[in-house]
Amino acid sequence: MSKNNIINSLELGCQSIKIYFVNGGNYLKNQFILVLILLFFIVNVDISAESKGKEDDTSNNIRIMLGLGASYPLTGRFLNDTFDNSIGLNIFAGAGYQSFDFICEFSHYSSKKEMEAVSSFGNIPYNKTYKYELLALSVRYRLIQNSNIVPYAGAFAGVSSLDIYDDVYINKDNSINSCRYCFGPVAGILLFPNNVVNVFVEMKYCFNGNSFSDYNLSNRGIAGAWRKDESSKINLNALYVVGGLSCTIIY
Amino acid sequence: MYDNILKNLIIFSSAILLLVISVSCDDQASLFDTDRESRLISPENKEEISGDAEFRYSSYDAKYLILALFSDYPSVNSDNRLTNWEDCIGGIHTNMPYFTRGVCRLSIMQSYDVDKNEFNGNGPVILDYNRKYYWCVWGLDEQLRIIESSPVYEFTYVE
Repeated sequence: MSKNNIINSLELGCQSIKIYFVNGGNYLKNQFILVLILLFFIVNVDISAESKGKEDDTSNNIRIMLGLGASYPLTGRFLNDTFDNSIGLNIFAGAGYQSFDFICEFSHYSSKKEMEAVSSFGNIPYNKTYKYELLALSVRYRLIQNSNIVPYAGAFAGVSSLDIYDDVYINKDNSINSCRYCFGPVAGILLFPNNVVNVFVEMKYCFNGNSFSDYNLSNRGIAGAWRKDESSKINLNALYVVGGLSCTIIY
Repeated sequence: MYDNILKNLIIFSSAILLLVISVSCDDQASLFDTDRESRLISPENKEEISGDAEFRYSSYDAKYLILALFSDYPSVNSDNRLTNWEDCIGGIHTNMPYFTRGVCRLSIMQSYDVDKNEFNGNGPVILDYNRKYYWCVWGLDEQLRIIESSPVYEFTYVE
């Protein structure tokens, strides 16, 4: 019964997300609504877990986890004109004891965008590459133990960095790099957690401490010297859907 | 017999050496350090021109071309950048009206604006009579890197 509740709440959450993405209005409104849905989902799963009671004993074994996943940003400036959306690569390693998992994770996103620089010879097209990386520690609490479907919720905190460079003649010398701290909630489900190889699907919202610096190139005059102009800041706060495989060794 | 062979060999070697020397002396260095060289056809080096003279040159496939006139010999620093833009008096480039690859009349060229680093269209270039000037051409690729350049030719503008 409690599993049905969890599945129902998951379905409800997914449907709500789908509805809001299809009919979503402006950017801030969408972000606010999605955070609310995420919180609703976490609370719902927690209530379901409580209602189940504690008939299953939690395992006292230590779990070592290694995993590989992919993540996709659903909201934020990734979807706007800053740069093209890209699927990120996630690698993590961690350990768990009883209901808690402590994980160190690394995420990498890379994206290219076609830009145009103003010059005496007209607009010059060039490619700008964005590399967004997150290194974070997260704590997750398993809401149910000893089940084939284990929902969990938690939080993460770490550092994020955005490296921007272009393919104009100065190549990487032209890059700018900015680092920020990041944090956010995580909620997801683990399928077959007692198997050596298990599957996880989660959603997380990443808040960055501040927006990131960006630049545009221009070339004034016939001397051919490029100039870097500061452009608007990039806000990379976003909701991510993450999925992948985790290898768990239980001692 | 061996004397004859040796004599012929010396004459042949001397001829080759002379040819190499004459070719290398005739070859003027490009203004910029580039792999490809644009060729200036007319006016030739140290030629006298008058009236609405025509400047002819040949270039490779550079996306953007610049033809510039200088009142003093243009110099380039170790970063392959022109250092005496203040001596530039005018010219034309690919994105200006009436630009045609390979040929340009003096009346089409526009005067140079030092502040904007542009051939700004404030009128044609006006040259003083009986004065030496220098002209050259260089080409840029799609990302405005200098990829070809000509030598610098001197000319005198006469009545």
